[in-house]
Amino acid sequence: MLEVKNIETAYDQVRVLKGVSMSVKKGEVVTLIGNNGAGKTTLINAISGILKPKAGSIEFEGKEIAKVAPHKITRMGIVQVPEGRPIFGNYTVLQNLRMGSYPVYRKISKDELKNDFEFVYGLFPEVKDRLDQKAGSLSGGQQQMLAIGMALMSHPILLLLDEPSLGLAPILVDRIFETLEVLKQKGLTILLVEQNANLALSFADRGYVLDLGKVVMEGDCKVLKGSKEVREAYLGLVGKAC
Amino acid sequence: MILQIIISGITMGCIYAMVGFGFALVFNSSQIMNFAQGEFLMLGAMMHYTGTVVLKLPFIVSLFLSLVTIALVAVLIEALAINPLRKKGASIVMMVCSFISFSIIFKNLAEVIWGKYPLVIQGFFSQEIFNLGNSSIQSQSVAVIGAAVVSMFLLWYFFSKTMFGMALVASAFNPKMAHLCGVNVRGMIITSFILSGASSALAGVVVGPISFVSSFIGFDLGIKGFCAAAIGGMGSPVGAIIGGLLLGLLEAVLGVYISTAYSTIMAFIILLVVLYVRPQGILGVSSR
Ligand SMILES: Nc1ncnc2c1ncn2[C@@H]1O[C@H](COP(=O)(O)OP(=O)(O)OP(=O)(O)O)[C@@H](O)[C@H]1O
Ligand SMILES: [Mg+2]
Repeated sequence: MLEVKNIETAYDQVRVLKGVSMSVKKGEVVTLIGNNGAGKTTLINAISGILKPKAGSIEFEGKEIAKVAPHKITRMGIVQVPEGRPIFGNYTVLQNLRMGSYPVYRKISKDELKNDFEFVYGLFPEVKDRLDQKAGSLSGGQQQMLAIGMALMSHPILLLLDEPSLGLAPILVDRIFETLEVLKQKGLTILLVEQNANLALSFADRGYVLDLGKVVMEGDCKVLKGSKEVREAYLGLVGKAC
Repeated sequence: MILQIIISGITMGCIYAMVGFGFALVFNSSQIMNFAQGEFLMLGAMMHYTGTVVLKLPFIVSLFLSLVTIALVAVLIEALAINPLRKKGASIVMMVCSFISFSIIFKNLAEVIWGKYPLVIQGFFSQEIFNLGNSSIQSQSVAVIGAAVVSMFLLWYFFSKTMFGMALVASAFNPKMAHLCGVNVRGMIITSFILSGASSALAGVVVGPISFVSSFIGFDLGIKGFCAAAIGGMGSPVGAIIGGLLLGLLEAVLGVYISTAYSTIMAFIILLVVLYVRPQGILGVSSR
């Protein structure tokens, strides 16, 4: 479904991604782990079209998208939930969800739109209870839920998630990942960026380890989790594999 | 007497509000103060002069042509003055300089095309004065207030009731998130310029019969519109309306008790007072 080949990016003259290749197949959950500054956000921003790679290609369902405008990429079905607080703080929760439906609202029927809202409300009742509240006044966890809800309203074919667990209490992290599990079971294709490698490797099918702008390891998550290098460098464990 | 002062204050306030609104729109979408805004007003009035007096078109047709032309001029400005600079990473200051250059070009071009002397354009109503019981009001005040109310209502509807308007505001809040929501952010910036051009041109058409029309009016009214937007809190369209009305009313009252000669000075003193008391303007947000 997604095929990234040898992409290179730079901010001004500083190279960040130095020839990264990776792929995501339909129905797969793939994770991208790595330390701070490894280039994870840069990579998914390149996929979303927010950042144009200097070299290399990105194909989505057979189409070259490396030079396509970001809003068109979203409309093609690659929907990103960025890191931080990815919501419109001045808008109410309901208005944010409406913004989520922006790429598709002209293409779908009123009933479909209503079903989308119901689906999001079902996943996140805490969002439904606060429809008229300003999104900026939600708690961090609620904002993350809203952001995922907005992305779902956009009818993603490939969902890109950038560190959904960042800065959240463990109980909220569990809550977010339970929901992601539901989406995974429904067959949604997901590319998950995480610093919490343990969590990411338990959730995903396949993973890539990014370091200093290069893929240094890739493979089945079970294998990655068992490997000595990953255990030492990313899981904070020293010693034998279990 | 007092009623007349209030009505004339509201009338000019509506004009400042419409220009200020244009400032706020462009500022919102691109964080730049468009100092060519006043020239949009002047050009709108000039086009309407050409439409009605030279070409003898019906009022409505000429009005429509004037709005469309100025909207196109605004789009052109975005394409020539702003977008190329933004792409090359120019600072906001440079873009403001670019706007100022265009405003001077417009003013001088207008002088070449339409001459130096004030021109007279017809008002919306053929009657000059309406009698209300035992007081009377200028019919053009009714036209100005009417145009302001109608355009504000349309813009309010657009921004708060349509997905497109909501997406436009969203791209001003957070362009990256807007992209990720499938919003064509450049298209939204262009739309802001179209709306700001058309609303200023409308202000020009309705103020023309009151102020006369010459290539000079753009500067003065543009500066007042800027004050209105700044008083209201740059980037808040509702703030610009409040700022405009406040400015118009205070100016009318002070004009009677002091002198109209000080009206521009007055506008800036009012702006300074507001900024001392509330640096972010009346409805502005203190930090983004
Ligand atoms: N806008 C920018 N301008 C200049 N350099 C940047 C910019 N954004 C990121 N970088 C640099 O690019 C490198 C990769 O950053 P990136 O945000 O992709 O890392 P990351 O893997 O997502 O890290 P984190 O886990 O902290 O989110 C870093 O060295 C960073 O300093
Ligand atoms: Mg990151």
